[in-house]
Amino acid sequence: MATSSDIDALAPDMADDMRAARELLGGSPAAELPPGLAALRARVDEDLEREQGLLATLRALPTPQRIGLVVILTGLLMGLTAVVTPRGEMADYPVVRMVVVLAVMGALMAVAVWRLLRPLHLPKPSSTATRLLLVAGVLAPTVAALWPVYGHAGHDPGHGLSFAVGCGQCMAFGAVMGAPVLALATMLRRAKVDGAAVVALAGVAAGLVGNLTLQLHCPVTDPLHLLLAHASLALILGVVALRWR
Amino acid sequence: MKSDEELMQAYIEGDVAAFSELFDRYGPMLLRIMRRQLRDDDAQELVQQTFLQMHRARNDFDTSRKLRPWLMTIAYNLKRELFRRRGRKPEAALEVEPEAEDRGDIVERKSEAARLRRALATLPEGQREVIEMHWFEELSFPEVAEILGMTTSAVKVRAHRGYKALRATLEKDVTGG
Repeated sequence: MATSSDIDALAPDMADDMRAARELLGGSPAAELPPGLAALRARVDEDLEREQGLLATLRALPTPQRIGLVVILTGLLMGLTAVVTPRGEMADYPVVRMVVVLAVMGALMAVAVWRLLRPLHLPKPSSTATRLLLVAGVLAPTVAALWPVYGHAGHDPGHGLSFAVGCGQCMAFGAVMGAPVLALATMLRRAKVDGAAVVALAGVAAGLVGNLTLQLHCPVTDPLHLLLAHASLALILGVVALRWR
Repeated sequence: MKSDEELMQAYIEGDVAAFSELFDRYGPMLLRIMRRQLRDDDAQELVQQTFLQMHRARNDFDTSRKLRPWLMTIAYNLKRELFRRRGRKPEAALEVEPEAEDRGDIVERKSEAARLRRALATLPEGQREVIEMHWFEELSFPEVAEILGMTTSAVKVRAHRGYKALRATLEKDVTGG
């Protein structure tokens, strides 16, 4: 509790200023009992009674476990992709590039999930940091798309209609892979009080999951295909999340 | 008497009575904080949300830490988000309790409240928030620092500047300057 000793411990000029101001302010109103508490208590009890079932149990998990669930789901989707529908030329694909792309996008996705599920008992992070994360989440797949693949020829992206169909298939694949992560992360949030940047971040995180799985699935290395069908997912799902909220 | 942290530990372990005790200890304080800047229905809504969030986050609570700054951070974050959503800066609205019994007391307190409201409204948001916590809610500087995510020294500097500015405003008010 703030007591006079709290102020006494300060430098003399600071303490004098504070004492004088507090004298002018009068007694602290901390001891007054506000009305309306009984009705409020009844509403709080109703809230707590509604907190039953699987969803409530998941939301009440410690934050590292909630984040862990989303990361595990992402890992499962990536594992499933690598086993069931791996890219055909995986063995020839440059290992360093694969590792860097997966590591950077995976790390961004994890940080985005952490920001989404950040509990309210911690001081609010700066909105600038959130916006930077949002921009990084959109830019990372774009940079990966434009990063030339040396010494490796991927599959032909096709031309005209076949190019468009290929792009559509990849976008659908990435969206289907990102959707469960977006749904889980949204379910695990305890309070939907954040601003537009955080809501968009949920979609961007899902777009990053789509990109992670596409990196393991799609054998095309053409920059235009990667840009339109892979990298755009983060932006599109970010906008979808904003519209959906 | 059990400490807040012991009560929270008991609540985490399923003791519903411990929650009642925590509500009795913190409900009035949180309602006062919210009513200072919000209409009564909004204030009640935010306190309700604070206890719901406390319940949902109960497994995140570290019982070796203090409960009060933990709970206050939830309350202040909810309040800030509400102001952000409404696109306005918080006002220093020090409301008189609506059920005060004595009529003369109400008039006197309204005048006092208006004087404080004017003085507080002149402070920058950061200073006003620190003064609110330190003076109105009697939180210590380290507790205020924990809630705001600042160092204790920075909170002391902010409080000093705030109190100094308040003193100047109130003195000017008294002398009619």
